[in-house]
Amino acid sequence: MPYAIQGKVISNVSLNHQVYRMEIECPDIANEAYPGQFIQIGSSNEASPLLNRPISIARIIPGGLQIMYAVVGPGTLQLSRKQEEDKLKIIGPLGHGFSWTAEMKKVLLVGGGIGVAPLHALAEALYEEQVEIHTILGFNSQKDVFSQEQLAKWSKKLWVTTMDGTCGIKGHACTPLEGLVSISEYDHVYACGPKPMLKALAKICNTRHIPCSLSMEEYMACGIGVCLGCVTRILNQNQEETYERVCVEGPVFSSREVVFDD
Amino acid sequence: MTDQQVDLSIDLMGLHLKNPVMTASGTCGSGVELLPYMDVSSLGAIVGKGTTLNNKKGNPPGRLMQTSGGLLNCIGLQNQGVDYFLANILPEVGKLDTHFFANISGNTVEEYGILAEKLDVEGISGLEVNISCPNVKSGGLAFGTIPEDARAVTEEVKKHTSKKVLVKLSPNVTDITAIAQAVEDGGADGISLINTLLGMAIDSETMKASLSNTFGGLSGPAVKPVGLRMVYQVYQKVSIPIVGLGGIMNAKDAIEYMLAGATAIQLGTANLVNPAVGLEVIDGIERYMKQKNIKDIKSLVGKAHR
Ligand SMILES: Cc1cc2nc3c(=O)[nH]c(=O)nc-3n(C[C@H](O)[C@H](O)[C@H](O)COP(=O)(O)OP(=O)(O)OC[C@H]3O[C@@H](n4cnc5c(N)ncnc54)[C@H](O)[C@@H]3O)c2cc1C
Ligand SMILES: Cc1cc2nc3c(=O)[nH]c(=O)nc-3n(C[C@H](O)[C@H](O)[C@H](O)COP(=O)(O)O)c2cc1C
Ligand code: FES
Repeated sequence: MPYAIQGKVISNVSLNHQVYRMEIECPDIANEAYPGQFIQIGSSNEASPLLNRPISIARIIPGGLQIMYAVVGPGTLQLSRKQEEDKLKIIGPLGHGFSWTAEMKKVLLVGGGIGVAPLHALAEALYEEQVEIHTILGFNSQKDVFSQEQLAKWSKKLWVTTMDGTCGIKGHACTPLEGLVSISEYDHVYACGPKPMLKALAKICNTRHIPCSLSMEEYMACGIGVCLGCVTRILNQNQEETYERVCVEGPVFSSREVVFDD
Repeated sequence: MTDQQVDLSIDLMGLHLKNPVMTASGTCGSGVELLPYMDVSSLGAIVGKGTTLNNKKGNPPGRLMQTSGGLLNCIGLQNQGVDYFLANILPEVGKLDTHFFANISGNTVEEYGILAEKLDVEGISGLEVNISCPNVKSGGLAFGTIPEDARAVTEEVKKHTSKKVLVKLSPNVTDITAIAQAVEDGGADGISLINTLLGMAIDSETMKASLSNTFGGLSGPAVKPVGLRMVYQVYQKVSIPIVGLGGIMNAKDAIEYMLAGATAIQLGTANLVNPAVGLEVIDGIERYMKQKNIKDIKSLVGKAHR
């Protein structure tokens, strides 16, 4: 069951020029949260910005949550100014996150940009289940890289890609799949990142019949399923296209059901 | 200040409401979705998501955009149709101990009649007739902008139901009082004011309209002065009760609407920001009444008219 509560900021530190990591004390939400879910954060009490901001649960820690967010506009800017002991309105845990089965032996995690955030909780949980984890992290440039060391702790192998080649492999997050890594060695692929990346990865996994879970993003208002604003295009069991709410039916969908824009 | 008892209950079109706080269509699901956050039964009433005769897919993604103090949406009335509503949603709603209004939209006058008839069932206190949705290309808006059409839809609905009928008006007109009078003449039991204001947003990066449907409905604090003005104007012209809405975020906003002439109020966009806002507004109204030594909330209605 989700809660709407006041969380207390435990810490808020910058990881690079744009990304922050915040820890929030919120035991009720933490007790029920699982990897891939998200929370809605009330950014202010003012009329502007009006809406809460959806942010993924990056890690579940004792008595609280860790989030990682990129400062892109007024809501996340206000978040970056929060200090220890400050109160935050939060609603969560929300949505259907990642799932896995006991049969999985080896999985690939692919994160693009700030989409790396929700992979932390997933990697940690799968590591505890003794699943072998391989990870690809894609960024634009070296200055954008974050969490490489932390994810390396849970990953047997980890590759970093940058579009400009200033760190790791030059190219986007799917570049290692063009030779270096064979997709067929994995029981499951999990990904979060920009739509073009998810689209490319879905194509690779679908043609090779590798099960693949994608964490999708859409602009959200309520985050709790009442406004129908956050829908994404989904193929249902009858192969008809429908609009499903990312905040309730998602954010994680199977790569087979997501319809990408052409 | 003495801790006197205050009475928040109201009579709306002959229905007894615990308090004047309702939730607005499209912003509270069927009410059940808000249960994790508050005791939904403490609300005066719930207005359900817009229901149409047939299943409606809605508009493609790109349905929301924030603006200064507001929200633009072009949901496009996504819903599973009235039969699905009756079979699957109404039984859930029936477990709540409060009034439920079904919000209906049709493409033709006849469709409104069919919807009214199908929804003339137990578990529904009344209908809210949406003649104002700006997001549907055919029908919708036109009914809400031409007095004769607004009257015709009202008459048709009244003919097919035993329930109380609220007609929800569009603010996208030059003279709101003409439409209000037309629906009163058509037999409406009450009027809901306002639906969203037609607007748009453009993304300077992509150089395209932000919403998939180009235009959308503006709601939230930005529209409150418009809603308030329209309730004030309509109160002077009609004798049926008005349910006021548009940008109400807290008890103070709610009271302003009542002073302008609203018998009850609805919370819309506020639910999206804070799913427990209904309870906070009820508490806030109660506090205000105690402070001002007002025993009966009905005495607030229309008080700003002197
Ligand atoms: C389920 C979900 C999980 C998310 N998890 C994270 C996370 O862990 N860390 C993180 O940094 N961000 C995350 N986001 C994106 C985050 O919600 C937006 O970046 C944030 O709302 C922007 O708010 P703002 O006021 O700072 O900027 P705004 O002024 O609102 O927006 C600035 C720009 O950011 C982009 N943006 C805004 N809202 C969204 C959105 N919902 N999805 C994608 N892009 C958007 C748009 O390009 C916009 O022009 C998530 C979004 C969703 C839907
Ligand atoms: C996401 C969303 C969906 C809506 N859907 C409906 C609807 O189905 N039927 C309707 O009559 N009004 C609908 N509305 C309008 C609201 O009920 C309300 O009239 C409007 O938002 C103004 O109130 P507010 O400023 O408090 O939100 C919708 C509004 C929003 C924001
Ligand atoms: S954001 Fe409102 S339904 Fe998903």
